[in-house]
Amino acid sequence: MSLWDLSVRALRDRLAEGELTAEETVREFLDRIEAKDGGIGAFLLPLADSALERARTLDRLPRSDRGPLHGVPIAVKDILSVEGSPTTAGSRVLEGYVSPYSATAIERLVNAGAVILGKTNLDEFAMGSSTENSAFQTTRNPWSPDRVPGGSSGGSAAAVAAGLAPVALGTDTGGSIRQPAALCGVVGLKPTYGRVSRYGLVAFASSFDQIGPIARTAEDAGLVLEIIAGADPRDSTCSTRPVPRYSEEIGGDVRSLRVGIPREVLGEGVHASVLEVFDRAARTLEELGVALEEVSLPAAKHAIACYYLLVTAEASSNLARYDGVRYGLRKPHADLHGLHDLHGMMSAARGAGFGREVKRRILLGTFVLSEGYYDAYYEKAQKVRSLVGRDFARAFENVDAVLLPTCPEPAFPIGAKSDDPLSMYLADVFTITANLAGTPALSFPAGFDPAGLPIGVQLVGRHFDEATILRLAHAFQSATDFHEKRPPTEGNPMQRG
Amino acid sequence: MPPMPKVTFDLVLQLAALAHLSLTDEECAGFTQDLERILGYAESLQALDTEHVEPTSHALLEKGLEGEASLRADEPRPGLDHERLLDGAPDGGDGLFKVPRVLP
Repeated sequence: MSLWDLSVRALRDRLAEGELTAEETVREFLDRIEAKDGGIGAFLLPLADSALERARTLDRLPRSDRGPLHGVPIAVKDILSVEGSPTTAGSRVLEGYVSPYSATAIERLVNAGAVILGKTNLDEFAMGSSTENSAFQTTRNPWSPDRVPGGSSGGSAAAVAAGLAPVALGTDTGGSIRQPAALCGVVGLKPTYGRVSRYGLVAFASSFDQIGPIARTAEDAGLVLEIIAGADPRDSTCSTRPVPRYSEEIGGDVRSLRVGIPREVLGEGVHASVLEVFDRAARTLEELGVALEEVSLPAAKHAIACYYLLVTAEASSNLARYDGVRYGLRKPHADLHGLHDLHGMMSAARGAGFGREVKRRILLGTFVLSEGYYDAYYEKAQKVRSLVGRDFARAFENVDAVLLPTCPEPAFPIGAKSDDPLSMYLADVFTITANLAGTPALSFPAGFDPAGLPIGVQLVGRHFDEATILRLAHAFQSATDFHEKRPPTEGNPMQRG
Repeated sequence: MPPMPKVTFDLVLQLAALAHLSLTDEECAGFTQDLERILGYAESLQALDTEHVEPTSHALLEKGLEGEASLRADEPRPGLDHERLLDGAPDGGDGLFKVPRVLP
């Protein structure tokens, strides 16, 4: 098996044993990025020099000083701050900005010995489901270059799927880790809201945003989550609850577990191949000894409307900071009153710096929060959010996790939805309920459509119970080989022998 | 419940002014249609009975998870370097961010 094809677990073990050096590991991935990313576009900014320098430093460390992810390369969605590197959030409005500090999640990974390979492409400010809203480049699905990788963490998912990084960080406000993971045939974990510090994450919708791993296996996702999770005095919404050793508990028995199937949400608009893969995944869990039970999520059909009213409201407020005063773009502006008008300066910078979807959401959010409509839209949506949370609370009285498709269809062609915002929003139908409820959710590869495009399913768990959904997904992956398939251009390791 | 407003070109212009966004006429016309359609879709929420439902303002402040988030003591701590932050500003110097004059 080639080095790039190793799991984080295997890489980490070989690095710890001294069978591999950090430098040769990092070089392998940098070489692959150089050779292959031209056709994929996963990376906005590879950090080759700093990654190699860091790897050499790590190789000189005495064994006793080495961290649990010593020498493991990781790709990072370019919405997370890495000290000394530009953070674009996929937007021109942050032109010229260099992060003066690192996100807590980044700091913890680096302290654990991980090496940041580069920053990956995304929809501008994480607003999108295809990565087509990036101001800079198109990212292609490694399984089919004319299709989207999903979004908004499309660069991170494509990088892992193409073997350009063994693991990556994404962020998930309404499915932005899980949906691209599903469309690219990899694992994506959105932790419980409050499990991972948001310090250093460029804010989109602060009551929804969470950082999480994209990897090939549930075990690898657990290895990263146990490093980045945990209390942080710099984020008051971050829980002080102790962090389990997910990777050590992951092999636990699943035979006493119960998984809920919300049959009623699997209705209209869901692709036949997705339903087929979903049913087969449910049967596989049953064969592993998991008990399946019918559950009901009646408010789920209102989730998209509820979500887009709330996140746009939060976004319109969060994005007010991009005004050309403290960082980013400043444009020549009209001199309206014989003065260099402040409003004109800000409007010019924001008008030139933000892309179409970001402007659309700022306008919608401004409307939702405006006097006269606040109660009818914003507060109404907050109440519906409570109903979605209640549905899950009721389901979790009887089951340990809920199984849902991750997306209603496999990866769609580039351009297919880019002129139709509402149809793009509908792609999030199965992922946003977990963000509204704040629960953890994990997408894992569970099959392919007839054209060979990957299809994922997701498990939603109780608050702060990532351990159970990781354990279920690990059991599934131990019994199946979907996660071992590689995009056609790489051949299939199962057949390569 | 107020009836759904008609989204007009002028309403979008007003929202853009509130949000400090300069828009071209073409953009404004496009967003008028988009907002109309998205808000039309969101009308389905109005049919739900939420009279006895408390709004969720924070993902952890409902559902018995109130203890998860905690406030730190309000004490001075070292912050980021002043000069380094000013380095990122499009117009700064003398320890200040510079903006157009706001007083005549």
